[in-house]
Amino acid sequence: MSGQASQLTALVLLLVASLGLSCCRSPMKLVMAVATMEWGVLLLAVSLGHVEGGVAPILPLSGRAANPLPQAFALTAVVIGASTVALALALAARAQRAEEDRESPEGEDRGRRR
Amino acid sequence: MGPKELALLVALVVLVACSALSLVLENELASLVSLSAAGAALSIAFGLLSAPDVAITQAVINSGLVTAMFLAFLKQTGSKTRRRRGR
Amino acid sequence: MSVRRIAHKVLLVAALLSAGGALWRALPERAPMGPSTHYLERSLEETGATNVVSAILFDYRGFDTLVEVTVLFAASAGVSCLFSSSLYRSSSEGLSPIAKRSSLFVLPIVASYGLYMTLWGHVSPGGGFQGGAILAGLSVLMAVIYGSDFEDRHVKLKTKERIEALCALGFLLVGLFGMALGHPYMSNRAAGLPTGSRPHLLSAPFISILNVLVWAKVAAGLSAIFQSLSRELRRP
Repeated sequence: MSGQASQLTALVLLLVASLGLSCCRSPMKLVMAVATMEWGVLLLAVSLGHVEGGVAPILPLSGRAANPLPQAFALTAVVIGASTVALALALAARAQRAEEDRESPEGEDRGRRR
Repeated sequence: MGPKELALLVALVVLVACSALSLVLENELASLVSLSAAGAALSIAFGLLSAPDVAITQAVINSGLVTAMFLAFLKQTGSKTRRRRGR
Repeated sequence: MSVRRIAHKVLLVAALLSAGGALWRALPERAPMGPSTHYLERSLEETGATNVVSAILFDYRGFDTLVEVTVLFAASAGVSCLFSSSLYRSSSEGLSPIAKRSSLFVLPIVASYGLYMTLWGHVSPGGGFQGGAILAGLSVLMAVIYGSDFEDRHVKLKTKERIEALCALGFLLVGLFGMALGHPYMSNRAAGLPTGSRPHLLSAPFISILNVLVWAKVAAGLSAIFQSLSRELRRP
């Protein structure tokens, strides 16, 4: 039952993130929507590998173990998600600063002089 | 419903609520805080789904690094969420 | 809001709900176990690791971890490229002297916790990624306590980039070790020396080597990303 509830939550998370991605304006909200979408996928993967009444996949096992393969995938995906968010934030910050500099008086002067 | 399932349900509800809240709020700092709370709830959910490695990784990377990166981004773009009174 | 925009939003929500519903119907109750049964049963004698997830990440599927290390490297290189031509200016004085003095107690404890989690990563939950992230979080903590230029005064960005590159290269070369003995690339299982049935610190030497490399790499990469992101962009 808990696996099913987690799968449903993951789908709801994907839905909310897609809505946010298509409706939000500011770049920070867009990056947060991407991060939320990533979390939804990870929750889906881990909850697909969950068995009812299962234990963590650490030997020696004290029962039925959860599937370790989606967990390994989710572990690397967390770090990759953080790197993606970092790169997106850097791009957004740089783009916004370039926009501000272009609109400032010095930027316009430089544009006119060229 | 045992205590573990109840805790998982609570964590999932907090996760969805805080994620939706972070996309809706106007104040940038508040939306960042709710995103961080959603990440913490997600790591609790991972722990309750018997995935301790993923839970540790998600907890450390979300609270320590993703939040710090967002804060650095807010400082770069000069967000206007300063307090009115005081420092 | 005009009628058209409302109609667009309703259409969007309807499309997303139908896609979500279709996905919900298509999801199985549980993913099939597949090779996981083999990993769960034979992980201790084949790799010497008790943590099956670490054994998968660094031994059975070590190639995926190599590519993940490359992704982290690319992200850190990209971020420091975007913020390369900038000043580095302290933007805050840091916290009070009480916080600064008590951070001296916190720093060694947190650092040794990160190292512990990495070295015993093949025995209990943990591994290189977790320990490296803990160290990177430590650098964020120091930036909060001492001001943004603490890292730049003590560990330059260049050093972190060199550590990152060296560890990525080291990961690549460790995979070649198995190849030198005639087995396929990154098949440490065939070429390594797992010792017996009781896991201890050195019971899976190749996994431990890879763990330490990934630890240094993730710590250097993630804290380099944070250091680049907190630079002051120079006014042209």
